[in-house]
Amino acid sequence: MQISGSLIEQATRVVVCVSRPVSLFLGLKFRDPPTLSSSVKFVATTRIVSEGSFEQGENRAARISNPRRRNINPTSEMFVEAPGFKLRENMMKSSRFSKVLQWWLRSVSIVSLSLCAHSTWAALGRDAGSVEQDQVHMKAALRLAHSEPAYTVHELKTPTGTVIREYVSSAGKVFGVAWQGPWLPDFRQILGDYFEPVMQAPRDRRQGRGPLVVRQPGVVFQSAGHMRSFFGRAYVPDMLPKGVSADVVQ
Amino acid sequence: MRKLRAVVLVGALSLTLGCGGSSSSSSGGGSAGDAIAGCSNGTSPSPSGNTIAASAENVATITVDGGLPSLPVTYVNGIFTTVKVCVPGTTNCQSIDHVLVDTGSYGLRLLQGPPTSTAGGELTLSLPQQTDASGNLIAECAQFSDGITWGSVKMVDIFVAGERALGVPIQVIGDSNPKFATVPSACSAFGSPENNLSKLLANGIIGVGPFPQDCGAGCAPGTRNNPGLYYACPPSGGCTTGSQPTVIAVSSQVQNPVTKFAVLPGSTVADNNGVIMQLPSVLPSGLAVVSGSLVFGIGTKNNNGLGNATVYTGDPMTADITTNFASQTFTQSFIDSGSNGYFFPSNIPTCTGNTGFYCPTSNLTCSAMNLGQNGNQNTINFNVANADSLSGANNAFDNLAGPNNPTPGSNGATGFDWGLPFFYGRNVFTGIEGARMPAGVPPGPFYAY
Repeated sequence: MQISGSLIEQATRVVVCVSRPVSLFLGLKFRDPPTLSSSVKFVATTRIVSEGSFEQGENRAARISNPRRRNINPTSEMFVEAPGFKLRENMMKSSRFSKVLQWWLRSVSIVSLSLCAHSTWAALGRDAGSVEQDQVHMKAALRLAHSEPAYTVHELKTPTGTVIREYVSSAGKVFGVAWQGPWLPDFRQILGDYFEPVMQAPRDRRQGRGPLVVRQPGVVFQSAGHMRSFFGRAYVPDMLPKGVSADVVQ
Repeated sequence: MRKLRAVVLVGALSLTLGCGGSSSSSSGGGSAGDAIAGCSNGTSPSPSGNTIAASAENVATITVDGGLPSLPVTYVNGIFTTVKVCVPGTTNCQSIDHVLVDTGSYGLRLLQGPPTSTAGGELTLSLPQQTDASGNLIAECAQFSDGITWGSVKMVDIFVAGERALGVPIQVIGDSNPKFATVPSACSAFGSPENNLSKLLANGIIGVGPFPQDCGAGCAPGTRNNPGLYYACPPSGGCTTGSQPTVIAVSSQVQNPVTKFAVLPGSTVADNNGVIMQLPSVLPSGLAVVSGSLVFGIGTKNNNGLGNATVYTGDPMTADITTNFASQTFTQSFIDSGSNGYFFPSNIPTCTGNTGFYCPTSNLTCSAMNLGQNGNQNTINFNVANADSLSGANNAFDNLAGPNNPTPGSNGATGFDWGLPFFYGRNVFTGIEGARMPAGVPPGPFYAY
């Protein structure tokens, strides 16, 4: 789960892959935009690290190394330094809180790597936080591309040049994903629980080769294009925000 | 006769409507009756009168015949040829029929057959394995829009018509060697494996599109953005679910066989810079069998000049051109003999029987414009018939279309897929990136017709 050099230019919001609620992490901030080195891994939260919990500036990616060896002030602020950047926890209100946090930070960096690497979490149909998981999994740069009253569009650009757009309803659900670029996206990641049903489903058109359309009661999947130039989308009809057409997923 | 007159009459009418009419209905569609954006009722005359090259050493016969008789489904608009492959440097060879001719991919991929496979069927020849410097076995996960093909990379001598390409890496789809039996999960993440006849619907795919390899520098050493097509598996254990992508030299990747064609005796240049697909026109009701020519080389022989065809240069990275249709701009458009219909977004009703195709309530003629990056443009009138009404006895239709992704919005690109129907009655050139072109012909990637 190393974040490779190619994404660093525009990296990246950071996601911690964890196996339990981590609301403790609300307020984790990057103090300095990180300059990533090869040893940089990552940290992240999913829902926890909401848009507002980061400082402005888009260059973010991080690693939490052993915080005990770093400059940690457990009573007020917490700094976690890693090569080229620092993390600051500034919402720690109690020593008990900070101890939990320290323990967690110590254990998270290695553990979370394996969790991420084998994560079955993914985007479609899941909570908005899974956008960040997709981002980490695909080593992508993320930006908020577009915002409507009923939904927002998060755009991930993978190092291989494929752009993935994830459509998040105001209810916080990823109701659609779309992609375009020279290579297909990691469908297992971005389709999440819908991956197996889509892959196992009978195709709409069996009389020859061409773009793929899968229509299942719970999901629609369309994949088109050709080698070196693909595009497509998937969406969950039942999760479309009221008054929003599936055509927005593109 | 009466039918024919009706067709011509309506065709003339729709041509008149075609130019201005395409923008007459809003893209919202459907509010005023059942207006179809970009289309109107009727049938346009199909292009016809194109030259079909006679038999020659650089001309392979291509045929639409419904596909492999052994399959339970008929392959509509599948264009096939026969390829002979040999163990390199030997006369140990096998001819394989029903290899799909695909301008949308690059490289030869042959489906491994059971040992009982009969002559002309799937690959049974035992071929030398491609390895890396450490002796690892090279395998590939090739990406198609409808799935992936997984299998080993092997070396072969390829013979098509009178052309030969010696010692070329190809993909053996579904290699029966147990070392390739497991599809790595990093590969299956890109799609469902099409590793058998019922999924692939052909004995193989010969990708003759406008690039020389299926990946190129992105999969080669030094890349910073390996898309993960190639795998190196230990020679002892073979590939596992946990196998990870590797890098491989460009020359060791699966190659568009056309780029590897040798200079033929008596010639000074190889027919290696592109192909021309030449198919005759078909009737609106379709035909059971259509045969044409796959001509190798552009301007390399007296039978493959550009003639009066216009070149539409593609995006250097994707070969894509732009298509304007129904007041929408499709910047990822392509001309793909391996797609068996026209595929584009529309409010034409889809079929209940042949799902995945359009079933308009009456025949439609539609109008679109192709634009190359070189500024050349061309308006195309094409027909869309009700796929459920087309004759089940026929296999070749120039009026078969189906849905694709939604119209491109503010987010930009989707593509218009000009599949095999586009090729009937036309000579369609595919110019390969980086290949030497005759004077006056721009560098590839390009399409010309």
